[in-house]
This record gives sequence, structure tokens and C-alpha cells, in this order.
Amino acid sequence: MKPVTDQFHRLARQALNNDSLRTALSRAVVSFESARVDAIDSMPDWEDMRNHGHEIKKRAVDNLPVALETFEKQVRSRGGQVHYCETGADARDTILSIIRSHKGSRVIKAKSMVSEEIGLNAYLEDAGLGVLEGDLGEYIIQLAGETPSHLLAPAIHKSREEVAELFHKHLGSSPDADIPEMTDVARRTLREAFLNSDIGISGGNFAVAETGTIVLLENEGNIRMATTIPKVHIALLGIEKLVPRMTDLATMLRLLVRSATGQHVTCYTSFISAARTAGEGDGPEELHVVFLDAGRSGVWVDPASRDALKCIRCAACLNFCPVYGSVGGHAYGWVYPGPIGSVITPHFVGIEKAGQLPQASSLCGRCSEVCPVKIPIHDMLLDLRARSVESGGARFHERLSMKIFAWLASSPRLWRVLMAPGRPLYRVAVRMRLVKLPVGPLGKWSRSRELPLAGAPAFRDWWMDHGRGNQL
Amino acid sequence: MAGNYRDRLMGLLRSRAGGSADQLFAGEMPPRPSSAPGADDDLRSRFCREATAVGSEALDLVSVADPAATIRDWIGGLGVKRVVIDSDPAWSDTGFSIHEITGSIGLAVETVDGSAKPGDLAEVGLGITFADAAIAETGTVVQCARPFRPRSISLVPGIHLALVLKDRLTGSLEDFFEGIMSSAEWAGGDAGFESYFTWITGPSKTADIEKTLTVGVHGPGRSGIFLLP
Repeated sequence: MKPVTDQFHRLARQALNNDSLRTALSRAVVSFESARVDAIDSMPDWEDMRNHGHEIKKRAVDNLPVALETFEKQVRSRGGQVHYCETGADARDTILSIIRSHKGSRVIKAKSMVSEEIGLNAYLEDAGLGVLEGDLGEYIIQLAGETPSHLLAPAIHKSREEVAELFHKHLGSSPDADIPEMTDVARRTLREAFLNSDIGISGGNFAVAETGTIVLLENEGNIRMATTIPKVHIALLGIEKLVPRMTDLATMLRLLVRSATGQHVTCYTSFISAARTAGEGDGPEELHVVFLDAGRSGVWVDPASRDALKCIRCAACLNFCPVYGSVGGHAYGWVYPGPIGSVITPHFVGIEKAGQLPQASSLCGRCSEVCPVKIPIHDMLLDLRARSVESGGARFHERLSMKIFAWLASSPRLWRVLMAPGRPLYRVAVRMRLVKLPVGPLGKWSRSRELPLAGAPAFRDWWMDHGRGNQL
Repeated sequence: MAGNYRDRLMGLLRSRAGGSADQLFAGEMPPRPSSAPGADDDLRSRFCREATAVGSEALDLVSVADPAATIRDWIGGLGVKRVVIDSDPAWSDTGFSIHEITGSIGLAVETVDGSAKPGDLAEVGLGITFADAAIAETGTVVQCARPFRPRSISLVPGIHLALVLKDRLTGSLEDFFEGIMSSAEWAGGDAGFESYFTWITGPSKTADIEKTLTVGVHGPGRSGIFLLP
């Protein structure tokens, strides 16, 4: 997928003017939030779990080469194949050549953000293959010719009316079909595809090093279909998906599912360590695991960014982010939206192309508070802001105003002298709405903001009288 | 090319203090969370409660005098035409025969082994299996790869019925994972937990349209579970 991450401001403005998108978003985000809160309330040891989850992912990431080699050895010992790909293009070629070697023509896909990252569907379609998404949300997005706007609920931005119209146009269902009817139409259409596909492509939520097991979570059954019925199963994973041991999954599954959907476990959780065994008539005849780097090793070698590889893609930081909740996923311009997207995208597509994303945060810190593996997301956003400025990402007036501010703020005396006439002038400016002038950088800034009237007395005076003064 | 990239990647990672197996597998199992079932808990009632909460129809038949009658009534109420069971050797331990049960309500049951194809099961109304394990904490039944059972028998038919022998019920997620790690042969390529298993927790569902919960998307729309002695 070609990133348009330098378009955040324009895309965000578009999203903010789209009323139906904002209604759909706020309904979904509230529902995700309350489900998570309920699920965590039922687990008094939640903080202990988070600490343990952090420690598990830290061990896996810090010992990544051993984890990968152990995983690979296990998969190979049971007949599976493991491929490593440096770039998205390598991964696409590797997958296509596996499909070609089996003379495959019909591909059924289980939801995978990594496949979105490398633009797999379009590539395989251009190569003449039929590719169908099996997850209902992904299928809706595929029919609409769009990209997912949420890590878990790809069609979160669509209303039922929009989906009904889409199904009417493509599948011939009634234009005012309700949700159960639409689900039934999708079930019948996709069932046919599942039974007749020869290649199944999935992602992977976890890869267990100790046993060489890929773990896949879902509620619909499409992943089980795609990994059971076609004769070849290709699992496409980022190299960061490892956990050390099978027993670590007790904690990791609790953390992921509660943070993601508020369930205790998903409806189906599949643990795949091998293709079909002797005597079995279903299950894939071949299992291929395709590991994608595409910038991850760069994140790994950088101590300031390595924490980002602990992400288990639960999407809690999206659901709790006031910015994501207002602008939705498409404004972020690439595959991974929300706070964690703003952290990882600059590493994957380049800070010069994604410098706006770390700014797309109020730094309220909710993302870090809800992260099940304790990634310090808002600290990392700050770090990326600094890097963006260092790499020339700040405009002249931003750099100038910050320089002036730094100069003033580092001298208490100078600050006091300038603030004495500054306060009354500021009050006059706000009262006369002078800052609302629709020109220049100030006009841009104030277009969607109201400046508060400065309180009286000034904080410094109040502090001298009440706070510090009383203690002394 | 991809073939060479493995070595380059490993070289890069190892050149930056890439850790060790000792560190990777260090770390203790943490204590189970207080909300997980403990050793003294009544696992059967916890299991049925959790399974019911996620939409399964779960009944404890361990102390019921005539479990066959309950099973017959449940199957009879489904209105299905085709029923398929796997050829699990555990059937002989139950003391009753599904064929007799369903025969009494005029339903013929087809027995399949692992060689059955998913397409053969597409028109089946009910698939019946024995669970290889079950987890009380989450109300989950577990099916692993077996030569006597197709993987799709719990997926493709419209309804799935899992029978759980009470000895196969474990408490917490930790109990389950520790159990399979001590019993399975992870080095081999044989059928069993070490090649494939899946957790089934309630009927198939989605909330992809407007976050509205809808049951029965790709997998079974109903899930029945009976605990047996």
C-alpha cells in the first residue's frame, strides 16, 4: 500500500467534515472502550499481567535471532518451510512463487495487516489470480475498493446503509437488508469460495519460538477455513511476532483479547505447528511461514524505537485516542493508524514522509496507559517529534517561534519583564478576537481553537501568595 | 533474494548483541490470576457457566442418570437432516451409542474418519466430536489434529456438538498449556496437539457491521457442549 502519510492534515480535515464517518467512529470507539473496561474490571491482577506481558515480549524481542532460529528449526522439523523477506516486494514475490509452484489460482485470505502493508491483494490480482478476503469486514472493504481503517474492525467507518448498498450492487441482496441478512449473504458467497480455493493466506498473532507454532485469533471462522481447506497455507508475519514459550500464551492471550475486544478469549484460536498429518483428509498439505522485515530490523537496532516491536496489535491505543476517535484510520495515510501507527509508520516509510504523524497526538498519555505490554507510546511520539525537527521537518516559523520561546522561558527575569505588559495585551487580543484573523500560521492554528482568557491574578503571583509562599 | 536474506538478517541482529537461548527462555511462570479457576474450584460448573456466557449451550451430564435422553432431546430439537460423527475411539467409553440415540428419533448418523473432505460436510446440519481437552476458565473446547476426525467437522456443519469427558477438563489457561507441553511430543510430525489444535469458544460470530453482534458467520451458528463422566 502506497503511503500518503504526508497528507495527514488534509485527510484529517476531510474526515472531520464527514458526519457519517464521525457517527460511525464514535459508536465503534465507545463500544470498544466499554468492552475493554468491563473485561479488565473482571481481572484484578491486570497490572501484574501487563508487567508479565511486557517482560515476555521484551525477552522475545531482545533475543530475536535465537527466537527466530528456534521457531524455524521447529517448523522445519515437522515439514514446514520458513522464508525470510527483506522487503515487501520480496515477500510478494516469495508468496507468488509458492502459489505458482502449486499452480494455484484461487486465493482466500484471512485478515492480515502485514498483507495490507505489502499490498499483496493488488499484486496477486495483477498476476491473474482470484483473491478474496474471508473476514466480513475485510470483504466489505474489498468490495468497496478501500483500505481498512482500524486494526481489528476494518469497516468500522461504514454504516449499515453503506454496506447494504454495497452488497446490493455486488451481491444482489436487497438494498435495505438488515445486518443478519447481510451476514447471511456474505456467509453463502464466501462459503463457496472457501470450499473452492487452493491457497489460504493468513497473518499470525503470535509465533511461539519453543514449538514453532503460529497462533491465530478470530471470531468468525474465516481463518480456520483459510487454514484448513486450501491445499497450501501461507502465513505472513512480521519478524517481531515471536513469544518465547507456549506457556507464555496464557498471559499474552488474556492481554490481547481483553484489550482488543473485551472478550476473555476469541471464538476461535488456532495453534498451527504443521501441515496435515498422516491419515488426515483436510488441513493444508503444505505450510509456509513468510517472515517480513521491511524496516523492522531497523527499528530493532535503534534502542529508542525497539519497544515498538513489542506491539501485539490489540488496537486499544486507537480506541482510547482522542485524535483517532475524531479523524479515524484513513487520515493516517497508511496501514497502521492511531498512536502506535504514528510510532511505527515513520520507521517503516521514513520520518521525512511521515513527520506529521507524531504530531497527531495531544500527548494525553492514554495510549501508554492502556497498552497491554506497556509500550511508552507517548514518550516515543515525543522522541519522533524531536527527530522530525532534527531532520528538517519543522517549518521556519515553527523553528523561530520555539527558539524565541526557549530563550524567554530559560530566563525567569526576562519572562517576568516581558509578561508584565504581555498579559494585558493578550487579554485585549483575545477580547477583540484579533487571533481569529484568518491569515498566516496563527490564523491556521486558531481556526478550530478558542483561546482562553488568561486568568487573574497571574499564576506566578498566585503561587507566590498561596503555594510556595505558604510552604516557606 | 529472499533465500540469502535469512543469513544477512541473522548477521545484522547478532552483530548488535542478539541475546541467547538462556535469556530467551529465562523467566518464571507468573502466579495464575486470581480470577482463574484454582485447584479446589468446581471446574464443571465454572466451565458450564463460562461456556453459556459466550453463547454455547452447555450442560453438565456427569451426574445425570440417563445422559443419552438429554442428548437425544437436544439433537431432536435442532431440526437437522444430516448428522455426522467422527470415529474417535472414546465413543466406546461412553456407555451409549449416538447411532442408537439418533436412530430412536429417526435420524441416520454418518460416521467419518479423518479422511473426510470439507466439501463432504458442506450440507451437514450437525457435526459431533469428542473434545481433546476443555478449559474451565473460558468455557473452551479444544480439538486437535487426529487421524479419526476431520478438522472441518467442528467448522463446516451448521451446528457443532462437543462431548467432553470430565477427566479432560482443565482449569486455567496455564493448566492447559502446561498439560499439553508435558504430554505432547513436540519433536515429531504426528497428529496431535503438536501439529495443530484449535480452541472453540462459543458459536461463530462477528461485529464487523456497526459493532452489532451477529452469530453464525462462517462457522457453526450453534454450539452445544455436554460434560460426560
